[in-house]
Parts: sequence; C-alpha cells; structure tokens
Amino acid sequence: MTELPPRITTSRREFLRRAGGGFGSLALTDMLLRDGQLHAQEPAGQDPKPFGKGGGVKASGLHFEPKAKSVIYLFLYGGPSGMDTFDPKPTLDRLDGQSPPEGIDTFFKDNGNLMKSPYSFKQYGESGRWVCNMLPHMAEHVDDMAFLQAVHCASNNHAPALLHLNCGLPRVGFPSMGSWLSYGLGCETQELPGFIVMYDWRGGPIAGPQNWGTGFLPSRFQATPFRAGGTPILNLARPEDVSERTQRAQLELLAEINEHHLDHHPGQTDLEARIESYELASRMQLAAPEAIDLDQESEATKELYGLNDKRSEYFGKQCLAARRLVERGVRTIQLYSGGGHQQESWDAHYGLKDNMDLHCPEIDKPIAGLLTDLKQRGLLDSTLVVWGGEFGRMPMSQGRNGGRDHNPDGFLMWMAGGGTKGGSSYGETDDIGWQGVEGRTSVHDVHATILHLMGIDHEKLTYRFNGRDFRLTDVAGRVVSEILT
Amino acid sequence: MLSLLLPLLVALPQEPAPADSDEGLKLFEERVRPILQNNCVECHNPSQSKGEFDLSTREALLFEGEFGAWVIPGEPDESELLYLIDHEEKPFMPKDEPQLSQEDRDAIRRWIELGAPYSEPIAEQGGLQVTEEDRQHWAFRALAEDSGNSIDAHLDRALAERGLSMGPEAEPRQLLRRLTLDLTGLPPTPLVMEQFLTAWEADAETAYAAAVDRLLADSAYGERWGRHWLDAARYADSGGYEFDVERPDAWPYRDWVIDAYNQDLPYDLFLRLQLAGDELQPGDPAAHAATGFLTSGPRITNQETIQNRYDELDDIVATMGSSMLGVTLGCARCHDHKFDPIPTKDYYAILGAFKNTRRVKQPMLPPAELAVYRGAKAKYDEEMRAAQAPLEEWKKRTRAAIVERRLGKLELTEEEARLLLEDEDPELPVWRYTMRKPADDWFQPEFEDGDWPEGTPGFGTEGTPGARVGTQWKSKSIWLRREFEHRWLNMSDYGLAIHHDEDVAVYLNGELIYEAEGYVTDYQFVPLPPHALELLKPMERNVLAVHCKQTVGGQYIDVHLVDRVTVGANETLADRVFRSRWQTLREQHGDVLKVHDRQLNEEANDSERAERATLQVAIDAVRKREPRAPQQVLSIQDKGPEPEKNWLLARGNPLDPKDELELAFLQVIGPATPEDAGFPIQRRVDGRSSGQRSSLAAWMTDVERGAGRLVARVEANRIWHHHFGVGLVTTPGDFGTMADPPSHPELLDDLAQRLIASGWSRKALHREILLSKAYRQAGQWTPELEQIDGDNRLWSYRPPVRLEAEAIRDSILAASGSLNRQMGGPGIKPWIHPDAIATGSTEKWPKGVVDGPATWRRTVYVFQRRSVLVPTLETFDLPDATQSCTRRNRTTTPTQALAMLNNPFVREQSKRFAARLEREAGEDRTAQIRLGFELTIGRPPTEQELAACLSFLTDETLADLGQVLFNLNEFLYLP
Repeated sequence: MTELPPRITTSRREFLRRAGGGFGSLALTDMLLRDGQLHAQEPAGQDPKPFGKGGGVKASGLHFEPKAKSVIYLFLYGGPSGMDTFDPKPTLDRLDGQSPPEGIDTFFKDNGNLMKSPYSFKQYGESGRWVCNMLPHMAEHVDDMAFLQAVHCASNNHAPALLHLNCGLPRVGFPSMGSWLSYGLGCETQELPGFIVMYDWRGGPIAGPQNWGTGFLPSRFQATPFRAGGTPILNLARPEDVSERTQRAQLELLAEINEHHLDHHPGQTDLEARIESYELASRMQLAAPEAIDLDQESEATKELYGLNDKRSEYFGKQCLAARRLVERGVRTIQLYSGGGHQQESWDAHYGLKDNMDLHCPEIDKPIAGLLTDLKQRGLLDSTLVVWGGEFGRMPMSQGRNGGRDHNPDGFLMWMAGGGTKGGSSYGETDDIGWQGVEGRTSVHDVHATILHLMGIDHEKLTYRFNGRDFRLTDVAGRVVSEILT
Repeated sequence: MLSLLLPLLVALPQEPAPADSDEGLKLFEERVRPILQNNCVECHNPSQSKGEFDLSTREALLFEGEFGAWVIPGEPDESELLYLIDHEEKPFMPKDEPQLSQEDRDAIRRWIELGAPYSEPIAEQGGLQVTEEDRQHWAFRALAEDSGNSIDAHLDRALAERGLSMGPEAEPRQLLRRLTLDLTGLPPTPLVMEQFLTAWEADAETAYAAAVDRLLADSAYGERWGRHWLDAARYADSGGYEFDVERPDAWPYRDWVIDAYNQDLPYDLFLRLQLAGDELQPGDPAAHAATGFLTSGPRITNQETIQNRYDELDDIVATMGSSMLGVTLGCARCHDHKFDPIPTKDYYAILGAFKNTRRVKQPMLPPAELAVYRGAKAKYDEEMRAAQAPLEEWKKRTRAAIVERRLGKLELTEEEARLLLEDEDPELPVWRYTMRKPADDWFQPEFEDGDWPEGTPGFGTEGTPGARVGTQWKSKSIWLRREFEHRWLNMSDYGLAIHHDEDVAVYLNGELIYEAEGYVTDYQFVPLPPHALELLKPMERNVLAVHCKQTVGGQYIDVHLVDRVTVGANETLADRVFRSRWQTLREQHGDVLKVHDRQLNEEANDSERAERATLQVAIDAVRKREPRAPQQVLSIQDKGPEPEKNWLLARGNPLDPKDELELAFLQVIGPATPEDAGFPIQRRVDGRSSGQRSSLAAWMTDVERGAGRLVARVEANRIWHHHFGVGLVTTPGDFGTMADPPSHPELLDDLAQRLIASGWSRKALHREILLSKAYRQAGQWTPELEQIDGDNRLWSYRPPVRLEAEAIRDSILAASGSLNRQMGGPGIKPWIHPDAIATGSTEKWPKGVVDGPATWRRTVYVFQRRSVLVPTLETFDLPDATQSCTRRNRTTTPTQALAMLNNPFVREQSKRFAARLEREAGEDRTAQIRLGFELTIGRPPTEQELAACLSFLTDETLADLGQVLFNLNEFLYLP
C-alpha cells in the first residue's frame, strides 16, 4: 500500500460543500427511491451516475429485499448435455441404436440413431439426484442445487442462442443480464467493476463481447473482461516508461489544473465526476490485482479448487477469483468454460465422450470447490451460482460420429445458493430428453428468477431507448418460485 | 358496445375478498394475461368476438349471451370456458392449436376461483385506429408558417418570461475552439487561432462569420458530421453474430455519407438515395453506394430462416424509423405501438417496400467506365488464357514424365505398371445376360451375344444371403456370357469364386468346367479342374458362360476367376472378388500418379525448369496488364419487378401470417396507399425493380403529402442536438407521444421550414444556428439558474459537453502532429490489446499491428467490427452499431481514466507530442508549455498553471506533461 490516490484538495472540498455535495448522482437516487423503479432515461447531455457511486447502488435490492447480492454465472459455452450429466434417461439405454422420432430438426440436419449415454450414473444426496461418473465432486453438492430440467431457448444456432441466454433476445443490440444488474443495483465496491467476465484460455465464446455488451445502456454497465492472473484489466498497468512517482505527479498536476477549470465552471457535475473518476481509477489500479492475487490463498483452498491438477487449474483459478470478487462486492461474475469452437467448447458434435472426458474434469473440482468454499464462508446464502449453456444436446447421435447436435427445446440448468431451494427440481423433458414436456421454462423465466433473487421485479427494471421501455425479459417472464426457498 | 355492457355491470356477482383479489390480480398479471393475450384474444376481441365471446375486458368476459356466460367468477366448475380448454367439451380451445399446458389451465382455473379480476383490458392486435387527434401531434401536424423570428428572438422571449436573459458571448478563443471542434472534430491550430484573434480585433462579427464559412467548407466537416449520421444508420464494416463476416465493400457507403455532407447534398435527396438510389439513378455508383443504408445492419450468415429474414427487415424498418422519421417503428412489430399511432398493419405495410430486395455488390464505376473496364478485362482474360496454354501443356507433359520416373523406382512388373496407369479398371467384369432361353450353342465362344443386355455382377435380388447385387435378376433362369483377356502369368492355384442359386453350370471356352446342384449362401472357392487350366488361353480372348436356375427364395448368381493367393488376411472371398488387382495397385501405389503443383516444381529436371521459366516470363508480362477491378459496394436491389407477397404477422411470428398487405405508408402522416398519397408505384424502366422503394422515398420527403414535414423537423433537431449537445427535442430518434415535446415548438417548426426553403441545405441551417447568440453564449451556470432552468431547456447557459471517442482520438493525433488526413477508402485496423482480440471464439483483428501514419488517420475510418470494438473508443461510448443510435451516451468512468493514463496509444502520442514541442518551441521550457497548451486547449497557460507545469518538469519529462494535457477536462470537453 505505497500508492495513495491524490488527495482531494481543499478548494475542491469547499466547492463540494458549496454545491451541496455531488447533487447529480444523489438527485437520481432520490428519484429512483420515489418511483420504486428504475425508469430513467439519461438526462440529456449529462451523466447522472458516476461509475460505482451513489446512483443505483442499493445493497437492499431495488424493489424488495434480495436473497442474493451477487451472481456467479458459470456458462458452459457450446451447450452441455443434460442427459449425460444430471438428468439421465434410462429409456435411451433401451432404445440405443434405434431410429429417433420423426420431425426432429437439428442444426446439421444429420440425424443418426438414438444414443445412450456413455457414462454410468449413481444417486447422490438426500434428493437422490442421479449424476454421471464424470462429475464426482459436483455430485456431492446436489442437495445445494435447484434444477431447471426443461429450459428452452429460441435458436439452435450458437450466436443467437448465446445472445438469448445472455441478453434476453436472440439478436444483437440488447444489454446483457449483468449490465442490467449493474444498472439496477450498481456495485457495492467503487474500486472494482460491477460486472466481470472471465473467459476460457482457448478463447472467448462465439459472438465474443456481444455476449456481455451493454447494448443501449451506457457503456459503464458492460462487463469488464478479467484475466485470472497478472494484470487483470486492460490499461490497468502503467506504461513501462512511467514510474509510480511519475504517474502520481501526473495525477496531482491534472487535479490541480482541473480544479482550476472547475472553479470557472461551477455546477458542472460532469466535470466534477470526471475528476473523481481519476481517483477511482487509482484505487482500481491497486484493488483489481489484489482481488485476484491467489497467492493470498492457503494451499488447502487451492487444492479444494483443483489448482494442483493441470486439467482443472485454469477454471479453478477463475472460480477462486470469482469468490474473491464476490467478497469484494462485485455484483455479477460470469465465467466461461469452453472457448473457440467444437471440441474446444462443450459443443460435442464429434464424439460426445471425447468432449466430456475433456471438459468434465476441467470443471468438476473447481465448481465443487467453489460451492464448498462459499458455504464454509457463509457466502452461499447471498451468492447465486448459475450453471448452464446456451442449449443442450440431442438424444441421438449426429450422423454416425457419436456426437450430439444442439437441442434448444429442453435443456438443463441449475442454480445454487442465493435463495434457491437446494435439492429441488422443476420441469421434465420427455423420456429421451428431446423436448420439455412439463414445467417448460423460458429464458425469460430464468432471467426473471435471477432478477427476483437479486431483489428486482423484472417487469419494473426498464430503460427507455428509441422510444420504448426495454426490459431484460422483453414482454414475458415468470419467476420460477418452485425452486425458491 | 357500452349499451350492451351497462346492464351487465349491474348484474355482476359479488366481488371476492380483497386479499383474494390481490392474489388474483397478481396471477392475472403474471400468468393469465399472457396466456389469454397469446392464445385467445386474437379471435375473441371486441371487433371479432367469435362465438359471441370476447375476453379483452372483464365485463366482456362475464357477458351473458345467447348461450349464457362462459365464466362465472368464483365458480370454476360452473364456468363453461374451463371445459373447453380442458378438452372435455367441444369446440376444443384454443381452436386448432395445441392444448394449453396443465399449468396454464390450472392458472386460469385458480384465477376464476379468485374472481377473475383484470388489472386492465387486454388489447387485441390490429385494433388501433389512427385518429385526427393523432395527426395533430406536434411532430406529425403541418408545419407552422415561418414566423420570421430569429433563433435568438424565440429563445429570448421564453427566457424573458422567466425573467432571464441570455448569457454574454464567449471569449473569442473559446468560440473558435467550440466552433472548430463542433464542425470538424479537430482542435484549431495555434496559427489559425492567432489569425482569428487578429481578425476578431478588427471586426468580430465578420471574423466569426468567416470562420463559420471556412469550417463548413473544410472536408473535415463531412468526416465529423457524417459520423453522426453513420451512428443513426448503425453503419459497421462487419455483419455481427458468430462469423461477424467482414464487409470489405461497405466503406463506399461511409465515404458517400461523408461526401454528401461535404457537398451539402440536399437532405431530401440524401434520404431518397439511401432508400432507392438504385431505382432513382440506376448505374450511378454513388447512388448504389447510398443504398448501403439498407445493407449496413447486422446479419446472421450461418443459418437461413424466415425468422432471420424478418429480423433483417425489422432492422431496416426500425433504423429508417428512428434515423429518418423519428418514429419508433420497431415497436409495432409484434403488436400495435403501445404509445404512438402506429398500428402493426402500418409496420408490415411499409416493410413491404423492402421485402423483395436482395443484397448485391455493385461496382463503383459509372456505366461508361464500367463498359471500358469490362472490355479491357475480357481482352486481358483472352491474352492470359493464351499465355497460360503452353504452361498447361508443359504441366501435362512434365507430370507424365515425372510419373514415369517415379514408376521406374518401384518394383513393379511391366504388366502391373501398365495396369496401374489405366484410368479405369480394365478387368472390371461386364457380363452379357439374358433371361429368355437362348439357342442351344449359347455357351460356345463364337456364339453371337450382341443383342444381350450388359450388366455388372452379381445377378439377383437384394436380400438373398451373401448377395451383392449389381444387376437385378428376378426370374427363374438366367444365362450369362463374358469375354475376357487373360493376362495373369502365374498359372497356379486358380479357381472360381462362385455364389450360386439352385443349379449352376459354368463353361470356359465352350467346355463345362463346373456344375452344381442346390444353392449356397456365400461365395466359395472352387479350384479349377486341370483341364480347365489348359483351356485358359493366356493373353488372348477367353469366354466364360454360365447358366443358373432358381425355384425358391431370392435369386443370385456370380462367378469370378480368381487367384486364391491374392485373398488378403482381413478379407473374405466376397471382398476379394469385388476388389480388383487394379484397385489393389491403386491403393498401394496411387500416390505415384499424383503430382501436385509443388511436386511438379520440385521434381522437374533442369531442362524442364528452364522451359517453364521462359513460359512464366510471358505470363508475368501479361499479368502486368491486368486492369484493376473496380471497388464494389454492398448495395441493395430488387429481386424482380413484382412486389413479393407480404402479410401482417400475428405477434411478429413469421409462421403466423394474417392479412395480405400491399405497400402503404404511415396512416398518421396522411393517405396511406401510394395512389391516394400521390406516389403510385411505378416499375423501373429496366424492368428489374418493383419501384416500391422509389414510391416510399418520394413519400418520405414530400412536405405536403408525405412525411417531409416530419423528416425536416427531425433533421433540424438533429443538427441542433449536435451543436448544443442536446436537442430542442431531447430524443432525436423519437418524436412520438412519449417523447418530451420540443422546448420551443415554434422554433423547431421555423428551422424545419427554413431547411426546406433553403432547398434542404444543411449547411444553411448550420450557418443560422452558429451565427445565433445562443450558440455563442459563454454559458455560465449560476445557482439562480439552477432554480429556474435547472435542466437548461431555456438554453439559459451552455454547459461543456464531453467530446465523442472520435474527437478525443483525433484531437490527440492532431496535437501530436501525427494525424494523417488522408480521406476515404477501406477501414483501418489500429493496434489493440491481444486480450481484446481473444474475447471472441476466433481472432477477428490482426495481432501485432504497429501503429504509424497508416493507422493515424481520422477515427471515422477505423474499421468498425461489430464483435471487436476498439476498446478505448468503446470506453468513450462509441455505439456498437447493432441498432440505430441517434443520441450517444456520455459516460464518465474510471476505465476512461485508465485508458487515458495507461493505453499505449495515448502514451506513444504523448511522446510524439513532446518531440513536436521540442521541435517547434525550442528548448525553452516556458515556450514548450505555452505551445502545448495552445495545441491542446487553444489557450496559453495562466501564470499559476505555468508555474505548476514548470515545477512538474523539474522531475518529469515533457511527454509526461503532454499526457497530462491530453487528460485535462478542458481538452476532453467541447467548451
């Protein structure tokens, strides 16, 4: 802790007193409290809410008392199979090798025969959930998980499906869920971004940053991609030829001239906020690397997250970093398992077993470790963990190659902690795991449920853009109360 | 309607208890309303109440018609509706649709139990009527006549009413900086500033007006103001989504926009060309480029679905709505517009104008030049073919020579080598066969079998055990003959591989060599009898003849002469007979025959190479004369002269088309059909285009009968918005009923009138605004103003406005002296951090770019990749080009501060800036600091600032100081 942010100068303090203290942001907060909802359009030409400050920060939820304060969204990009992980289909074992039902439309239009799971299943926990033998550590946590077994989305194509799950509509241009949460709730820390994404070492998901973009919301609500090590954020580290002393001197000179300018432009909260943004930036330069400094963790913790196993080390670091970020007040953390294309992700077109043999060991210990760790630190109650991909997989082989094609019509997600009912389950797919037949859950329902747990009424969190009040859940969405406490 | 309902209201049953009602309302809102909305109300609404049943309101739901009430509140078991949706009674509801889920039905049952409360009526689709009152909305009504009042007169009057007056004029330095940044996006140079100040001393008014004219004539004006339009047109250089396909032919549209601003292309024409340039000025490359407006949207390229097509069309309609009309048309895609008088029918009717369009790449050359190019290209192609012919011949010859040399190195017999070289299997057995009994001598070698059909083995029916059917044989008896040249030299261990039906006889050269009764189920090896070996005539014509009969089961007969030795370890005899020696040789040595181009070069001998080099010289000489292909532009064109069928889609669902629609315009503007409005659809002269878009374009800008008055208001406001940071209407893309009305409606109408009167000259409107006192205000905020005009809707002061991402980057480049002012052309890709590239599933930006003059160009030329926005620009609110953006966000974030402090681009430019200061100001620190201030913020430092900077420089470098100047609020804000 050698570097300190520039001091607020006396003249500035005086000014703040004169001006009543940052009225721009406070005024908006008041308005929000009065209306009980965020319904704001940005006041013309001004930025009312400095990043992470005043503004929308409401630890107590926006519309009612929240169950969860943070979300960790484990996104298994490519689309994991439900029937090969947590929702086995004995009927498939029986019908293995037979022709699938007529009329299954798939992305590659190359339907092979029905294909049983290559894995064996065992029952776990009091809930008696069947789990495949590739996820032995996660299996120990089934009584903490609440399953949605019949989620459906609008597309069997990666990019639109990813956008649907992340941003509510299967099209580009709409804010991601994390952006909506930052917009609605702000961030409990001023030193870290409110919405952080960490992607796979093999690359990001299809459609890249469009998945965590801010759409028409102001750009400060977009995700900040973090690396799970070193310098986590772009532009965080000083240029090589600028010493700590020099940057400090720069900031002091900058503050001095800016204060002088501000004296001639009283009442301009925007100018004032920008001066403040440099102070926040300095603090972020210290806080962000500290937040992901895993050397501060014990050996036992590292072991817990699978850091000592080459296969799980990378995702384990991200999970551990996610816990540290939650502890520091970050609102939304999204981790991607799988990057690039096909076998690099959970997109098991060519060899389901090869794919899952590769990816399951990467996530099994890290996720189990995360749940254990959150629980033992008393954080699981206030942290919602979400697990799922952009769709699931088909019950038959794709052609003859032993893979499974995309299935958007009935796939599995689970949530844990943050007000969900451990061991519960909602929805069923048919006997072969093709379509949801009971308790079908739309993406809007999933989002409505997550927002609900965060203390937000999904119908009231709106933003006016091009003449329309947009919502994350468009014009639908039902809170799936069946899996909540 | 009312008269029907009144008696019912009286007859309503008792309301349930309030607690239940709360639960009921909640249930209605969360569950029941969407169910009814999506499944029922389409047929059961006030205007179309099938079965006398309308459930759009509670009153209607409980209506007791001829058949009694369908729903009795609190009494689900008495409510007929539930029997219909439970499929216990007919007609099953929803009609011809899948049954509602059990949960949905339970929800409705519970809701009826709770008294069936409504929070508000459920609106049905298509019910919206556009009224005269709607047409009188301030944005849609006829323009007021020009009052003749100046901008200042309008503003002064409103200010005076509140006891305020406009602030004093800004200092000349501040004015010129404001004007220059505003019009060009670049800071004024110290030299220009000095000249301006001198002129200002002499005659301030003239000096200012001259500066306005000079800057409006600067090509940098189009680069800045064109960018404003490109935001609204959601322009990008790639298609977004998974593949985010690059569009190397998108930029001519960007350049056309910039040029249109610089040329002051009349705004009405500017709009018309973007909608229908290809129809209005066919063959004019600029007009084709203009239609890039319609092709700039995001697009899914790896899946063609009707949904995706409608998403594309929606993108066009929504973008046209917010950028041109200031109407949020996109809101009417799934239902009538919630707030504005835009029925869904209007949405789909206007969408029809684009329905039969397709994206085409048009060469950016006028027809005459294009003809010249095509002629030259044809001539060139001819010459090239002529030059390449000898090379092709050389390749053929050399390939053969190489193959021969390779064969020489293999241990093959001459016969094997010859066989390997055959293009087709020469031993492929082909039999002549007949199923009618032939003459008795049919098995003799000389028998004439020319009229028997030919067939490949085996002969039989599919499904016979062990059969591999080449030719169908379904009758009782078959006769086969085959001639072959026997080439084998090894004469031992020969036999027949035979699979036969009940009775078979095999003759070789007229002699019986094998006979069997009964069928077999697979191929068998039968050694040839000794006399058969003697019958076989090596290297000569031999004849095999076979007769086979069948009485039960499936038919099959096949006979091959084989060498048993060649049956491999892992194959059956059947495999063997269907695998020829030729195939085996090909499998083992086929590579020898393949000579790739690379191998051709490697294995050619010296003389062959020399020959080739000579031929290549001739080809290269021709290639130098290749005419340069014209740049293409991604533009739009109709698929044909007939408009495509077009429907209203229920709830926006492409699989649920309703009424068929013809092209029509917005009812709220005036007559909606092209004929009534006076813009009948005329097919284009070349017969390739339906003319719908021309009709739409004519309507769009016609002040009297079309939307001209609206688009003039929208454009006048857009110009005001960009000059002041906020518009007279604060939402430039939404002039609907939910928008705040204009702060000064008369002023807005006057400006719109003047825009039209000037021949739609945007520069004329700029001039009027820029010369106003309002624009030139010093803009001092006071606490008193905060009380009276807190949101500055009276324009009582002028707040500083943060510059856009482009102006910040361009200002840095200009100050450091690095800016390359080259205009136009393909987008540039400056360096970005590898981490920002890795965020996608594939790398969509070059790595390791070294910035230099080629990338130090104006930011409007940065390649706008939808999945990889340049992070620093994005941080400063560059829109993501997925939807029309008519007003940018202006955020303040610590990540902006981090970018300005630590980004390598800013740092590098700080160093270049320092070098420039040393170069131009000499070694004197004070002079360097003064010049630094002049170049960045257009004024010299105060004494206090100078002292602070000098003190800073005792320990830190000039580059460090330069970077501080780039971070100043004064540098980042339009004064």
